[in-house]
Amino acid sequence: MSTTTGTTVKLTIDGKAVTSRHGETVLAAAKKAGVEIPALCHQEGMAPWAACRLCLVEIEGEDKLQTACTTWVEDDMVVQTDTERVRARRASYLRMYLSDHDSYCEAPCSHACPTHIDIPAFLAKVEQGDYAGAAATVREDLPFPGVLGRVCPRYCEPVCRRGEVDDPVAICALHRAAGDHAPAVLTSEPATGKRVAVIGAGPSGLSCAWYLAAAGHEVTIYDRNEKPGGMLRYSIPHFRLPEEVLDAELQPLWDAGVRFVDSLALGVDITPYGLLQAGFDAVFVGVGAWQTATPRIENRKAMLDGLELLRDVNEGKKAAMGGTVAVVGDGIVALDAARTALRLGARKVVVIAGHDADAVEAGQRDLQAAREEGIEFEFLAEATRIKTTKTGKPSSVECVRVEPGEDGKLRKVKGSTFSVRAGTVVAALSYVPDVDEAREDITLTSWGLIEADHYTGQTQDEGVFASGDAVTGAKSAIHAIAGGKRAALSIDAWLRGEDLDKLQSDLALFAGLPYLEQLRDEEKLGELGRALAERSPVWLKMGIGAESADRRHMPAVAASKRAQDFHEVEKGFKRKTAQAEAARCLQCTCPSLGDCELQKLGVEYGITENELVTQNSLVRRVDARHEHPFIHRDMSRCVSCGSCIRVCRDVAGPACYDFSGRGFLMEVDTPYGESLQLADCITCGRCVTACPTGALTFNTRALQSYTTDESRCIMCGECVDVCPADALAKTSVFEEARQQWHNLIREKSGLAGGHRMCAGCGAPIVVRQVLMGTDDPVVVAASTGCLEVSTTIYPYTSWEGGYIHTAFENAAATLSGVETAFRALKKQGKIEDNVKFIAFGGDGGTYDIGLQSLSGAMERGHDMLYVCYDNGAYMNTGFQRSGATPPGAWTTTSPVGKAKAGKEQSRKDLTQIMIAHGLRYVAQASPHDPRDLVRKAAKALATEGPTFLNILAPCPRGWRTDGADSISLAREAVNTCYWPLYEVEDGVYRITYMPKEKLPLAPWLKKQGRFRHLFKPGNEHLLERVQEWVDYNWEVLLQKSRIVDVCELPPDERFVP
Amino acid sequence: MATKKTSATSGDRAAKIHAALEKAHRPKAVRGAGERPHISLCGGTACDASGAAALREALRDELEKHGLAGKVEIVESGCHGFCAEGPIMVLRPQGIFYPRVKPRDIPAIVETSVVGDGVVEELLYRDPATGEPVADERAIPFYAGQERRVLADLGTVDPTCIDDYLARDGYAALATVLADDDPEGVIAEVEAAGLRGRGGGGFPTGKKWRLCRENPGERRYVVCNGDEGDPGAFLDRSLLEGDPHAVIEGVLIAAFAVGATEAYIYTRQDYAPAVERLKTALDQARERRLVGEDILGSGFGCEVRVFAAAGAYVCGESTALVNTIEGRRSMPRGHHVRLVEQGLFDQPTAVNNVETMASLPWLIRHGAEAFASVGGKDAKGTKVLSLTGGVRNSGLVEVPLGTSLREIVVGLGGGVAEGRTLKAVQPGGQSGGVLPADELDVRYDYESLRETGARMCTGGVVVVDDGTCIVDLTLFALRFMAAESCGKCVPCRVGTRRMLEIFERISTGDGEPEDIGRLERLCDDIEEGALCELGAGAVRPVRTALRYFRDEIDAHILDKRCPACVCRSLIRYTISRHDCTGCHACYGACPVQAVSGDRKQPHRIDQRLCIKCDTCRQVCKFDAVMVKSAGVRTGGKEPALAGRRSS
Repeated sequence: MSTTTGTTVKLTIDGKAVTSRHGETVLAAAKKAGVEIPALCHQEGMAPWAACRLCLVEIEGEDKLQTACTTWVEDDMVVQTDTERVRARRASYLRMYLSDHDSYCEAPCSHACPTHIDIPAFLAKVEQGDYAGAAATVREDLPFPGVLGRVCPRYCEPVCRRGEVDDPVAICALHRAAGDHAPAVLTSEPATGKRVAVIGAGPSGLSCAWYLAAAGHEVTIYDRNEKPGGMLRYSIPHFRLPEEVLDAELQPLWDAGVRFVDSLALGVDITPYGLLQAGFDAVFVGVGAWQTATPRIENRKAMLDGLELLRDVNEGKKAAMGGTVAVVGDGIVALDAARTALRLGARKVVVIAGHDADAVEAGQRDLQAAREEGIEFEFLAEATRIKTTKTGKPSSVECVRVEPGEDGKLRKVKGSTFSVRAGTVVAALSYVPDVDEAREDITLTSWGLIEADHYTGQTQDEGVFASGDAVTGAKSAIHAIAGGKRAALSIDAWLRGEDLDKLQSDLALFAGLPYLEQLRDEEKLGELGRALAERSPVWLKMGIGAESADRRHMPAVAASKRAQDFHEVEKGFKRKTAQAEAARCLQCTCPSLGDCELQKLGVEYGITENELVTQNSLVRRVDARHEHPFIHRDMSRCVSCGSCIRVCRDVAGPACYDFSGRGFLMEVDTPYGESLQLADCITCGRCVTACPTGALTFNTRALQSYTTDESRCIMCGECVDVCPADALAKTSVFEEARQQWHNLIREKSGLAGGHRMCAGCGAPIVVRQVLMGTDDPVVVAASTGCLEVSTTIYPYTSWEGGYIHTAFENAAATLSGVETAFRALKKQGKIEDNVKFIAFGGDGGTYDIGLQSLSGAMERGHDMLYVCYDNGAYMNTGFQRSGATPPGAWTTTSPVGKAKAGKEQSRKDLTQIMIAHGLRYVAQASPHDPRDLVRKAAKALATEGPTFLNILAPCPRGWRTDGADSISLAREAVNTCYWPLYEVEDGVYRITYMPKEKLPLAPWLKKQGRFRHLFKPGNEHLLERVQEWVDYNWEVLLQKSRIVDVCELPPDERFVP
Repeated sequence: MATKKTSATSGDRAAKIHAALEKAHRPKAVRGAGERPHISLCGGTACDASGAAALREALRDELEKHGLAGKVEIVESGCHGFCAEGPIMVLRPQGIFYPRVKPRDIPAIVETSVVGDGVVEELLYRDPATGEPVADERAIPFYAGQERRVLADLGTVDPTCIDDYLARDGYAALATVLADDDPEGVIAEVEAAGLRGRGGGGFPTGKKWRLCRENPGERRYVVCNGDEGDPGAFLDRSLLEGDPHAVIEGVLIAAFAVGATEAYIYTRQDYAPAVERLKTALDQARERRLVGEDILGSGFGCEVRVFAAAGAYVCGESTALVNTIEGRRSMPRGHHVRLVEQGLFDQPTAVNNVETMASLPWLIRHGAEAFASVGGKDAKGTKVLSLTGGVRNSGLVEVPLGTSLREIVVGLGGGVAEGRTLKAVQPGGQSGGVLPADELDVRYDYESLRETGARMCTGGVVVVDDGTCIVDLTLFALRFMAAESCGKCVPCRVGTRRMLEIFERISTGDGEPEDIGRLERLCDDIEEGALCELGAGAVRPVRTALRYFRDEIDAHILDKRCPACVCRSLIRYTISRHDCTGCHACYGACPVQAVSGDRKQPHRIDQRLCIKCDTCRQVCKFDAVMVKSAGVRTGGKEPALAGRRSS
């Protein structure tokens, strides 16, 4: 090979004569000849890795398939790259890859939703408790989440991928929760001066009006009814959708200046042409389908119309019903009518359904609710005749059975006639648009529907748009809303002069493209085109690694109580339940959609079924790592091709990655699993470029700018050194500050080493850092406690300066005496130095028995700093509870047993008590953040008069933790907001450290033996209670520091200690 | 390449080398191999585990008591091979063989056979065929039926004593090779002998060396592959532990033949005694100028190092092994990499198995013709096998290639235990596949085994009796192979896992008829596309199980029944009312209190509580606990009772 490198080789690839050179691989030769051979692990310019096994090709004379990346060209070689055998083998390997690929390219729910809500995105926000954000995300596609969350037939849920694990996520109930727990908001663009008329205030018209108003157009809605809402108001019973909910969700429209004109009907009072003449720039028609289609039933006049019945009831004209009521039809109107009849007093309600139970038109959600309420069903039945009594009242419905024939169509079964006795018969079969009167004013199809383009809603008439049931025939509200939104976007574009005709044909062409080409060409469509386009994704069958988690049930009124009134049946999710349910979402979205090699090949090889994916098949699941600001790692999407490893090691240099583990569970990781920054990453991004899937992706936030929190900067200069773009520079101020900081940490401490405090104790660290806060001589008073007994063992002392030991409760009192004496002596001129006075006390001596002496000293205004090192109990006497012991913690005097589970009482907030003393400076600090602590100590000591610092001091003995973990535990306490870092200076609150992400409390508690019992079954409520307590205090602190507006906390969720 | 010397100088040189070898030997230091009376105590792992250490203490005390300390040496040898009869003690030079010796037997043995010259008859090995005691180790059928060439010194020499090895013509082959100074000749000799790689691949050793020698490179390497990862194989370990100098001599011969100046003996850290003895042996050999620069004054030098790796199955794959020595992750490089071209540190490298190396001294000493005097149709010489599983005479045997598997398993191995029937044999460990009892007439060589669908692989012969379920056996093999996959290529990483999952389903009674097709497709996919032999090895147990034991697998899938009564989900434990005496033994032993019943009354097992741990059956003294296959009855006879092997 080596001797002949470079000489010409002639071979055949897929029948093509190809000229190559010695030393070139078949893969490279094929590529040059324009033959694409799939490969996931091949990296241009690097030695073959031969791991992905997808570049297999057939080579004449070889029994086995050969990998093209490791086969070097030879003269007269005959290569076949795309035979059936090769494709079958590749497909097998792709099935293997996908069976171990815990990801999904696109969310099927968003596609199934007619208005394509970004469901994973809004569920992620619900999970985080960001209801306003979630509602905003929903409203980008659906203006009325509260309404649709109650009435939507949920096309999204049956396709939910969670259903492959257990049950689909309760998506519908969750967008209701987003609507319920956040106020309805409509934000508008600046006014455009254009006027648009909307005829019909049903779901399509309202949705159209909403998005037109959002675009800044002036909108007037006309409707033939008195109130807006259309079918939502007049056909959906109040037990499914209370009027208040509808009114509340429509309110933003009126607030945004949309006008509503009632009692004007299309074709009778107004016409699109007339409105255009009257000065409107465009007209939208969405008048719905209100007319009952003529049923082929003998004696049909004896029947009531379902829609009319519902309308009457909703308008308050409640007709009492009795006896047996038969409802013909199984659509949503039929079921609503049946349930309404029950509430009106019917003894028995029978629904004559044309389909089988699993195929009723109304969907399973409403079928189930109706059955719960005791409504009976005759499935697969067709009403043929209404028998009446002599008075003309119905007596029974004659029916015939139907069954699906071989073609799937329903056929009548001969001789299967039967009858259902009923005194009242309601017809609710199907509905058609009522546009006869507008026949002159608008173009109709031969079916009697308004003719309008599917994508844009454009009609034959210039400036007139239409959508909703009037265009499509009776469909669900969500379809109407989707149509209204599309029309609004089109109207807006048309008003801006865009060529909608071209767009229409582009979209029609786009819809005919294969999926991968759609992904590729989507960008070309432009913003409006993308919003209107309908993609047809291919769902690859992939393995799912999620563990089973039960779907949360919607709380509802008991079925037995429902028939009594028209109150809403479903109660909606509480916040906590909603968040837990949203957490079940698998987040089936991939940042590499369309760029992913695996997706491309999966689609190309048609892996929509996968025999390797079964219930018991294991899937590698790795938590996503987002610590690196630029490079995101979600290794559940990794195909272990090793490209990142090789590129990083052999091209870039730092070798951040390697394989770890063995066998199926092998994964690509950094050394010791540390974050990427610590693995010498130079942020070159080569690994991301090399990654064939979405396992490594760029952070899209990377283009944002960053600000420095100067209070936290330790002037190490590392950011300046490592910045790959030289975007940071040192200034003279920086250099000066750095010098000061370095001097500080080099300085000798006032507390010598060699004391006898336990390994890992927080107290001596606290003391050393506090003493760094001043250059002046210091007099320290320490009350009896760990610190005292361990630092002053006779005849030795660890204290460099003046030190006075006093009784357990007396530190503040004693030191105030010393300070008074000092002041007297200074006044007499006997002392010239500036001396600082610091009292140290543990939480026992501070929160409890020393509180009186502390309070006195503070109130008398002595110039001293009192530092409480809070370790949460009387630790040196054997772990007795103190006022600082957190609720739920074990101590020897708050034992854990059958009757009790640790401390039952809350924790006293001493920092707040000291703030209430009106001190000029009070702060909370933690030893894990010396920069912050030293700064606070310096500030306190520089402040004249009494000051107070409350500092967390982990105690390995009492907390039942490892001494080596103390500092990280302190850090975690701060990040969970159990111990927020803040200061109050002259009454002004300032949070000195805002956690990037507020961590949950449980993991921190779990690391401490004193909370072990909280994790036993049955104690979940305690855990929740402690978390609630922390959440509440944090929320209050945020309010006090004006970070959040006061009173945003809903009053019912306030924690009452 | 060395230029041909004139005959006179080459004669001088040869004499010089032989003299140097003579000088290196100190006959007085010989312990195990000489004529002085000594007691050879097997130091193999099996004997060690069955109490050889306590025996050594007892023996030392007893000899001291008789004032024989220092007069009669206790030699801790390598593995004697007859592991089933351990701990083994042989009195030499008489060759009196005492099996299963316990410390309490020592006084009688010392009294009778060391102080006196008799034998303790009741402690002797008894020929199972005749029931007669056999005193002479050479007369024991297990040894008599073997052709021990590679194992010749094992059990004789003290592995920590180089003089023992030298006393048995050790390093003579090396001296001959160096004296002849004709590397091409060595290669020709090995080629003529028809030696093929004993690690399983079966590549002709001479050809490999020739390629390695001819390829251009700055320097060449020889690597001895002692990474024996297969459960059930212990021949490499036994050789490294018991006769390290033979391996070293083989490595040096190979190094001389290919022109390598550096060699590695690669083994695993968990073979701690092997590593230790190898290092000792290397130190001794270096001290006697047998390793290092200018070996025996010949001008040829080769540094030999021991590389003790962490130990992973895939390290036995030569390219992965080379990666490990280079400090990389043990992942195979792929079929396209030829180590004889670009091996260790990108230089031409010959990687040979321990047994291949250890057979070289014999080959050179006796010549190609003698070597090829035994063997199968496509490969000559002998093969060392570790015989394990349900076989009576488990241990280490050496037979000519081409010996029938039946002769090995039944003839040497003595078949399965009393009351059992031979069901199957795994001729080459976990990755060698499984053959049914009626295929045992196959000759044990590369090609004959290949025709049956099985492979020789590492030479670990695992014997399986009727108490073993084939599904369970395959599951074990698959678990091992899936866990040991290096993860580099998808067919092996994911494919083996998916095969394992299917077999798990079958074992729990959740298998579907379509699973057979799925398995066959997976087998094809993995076999064709796996990057290295490990993937193909994972396929073999499945393929052979499907080929030879389809009925048993179908019983699991279709009838939800485990005919061998092993698969837990498919069996049921019951107590025979007739046989149960109500002794309460099982009652107390059951870890989940599933057994109920009063004393002296027949007991019952609550099927809802039973976890099928087999404890009750093991503790029952009256064979009253029965195991039944719980699946769908398809008519016919009741499945075998109490099929589970007692531990």
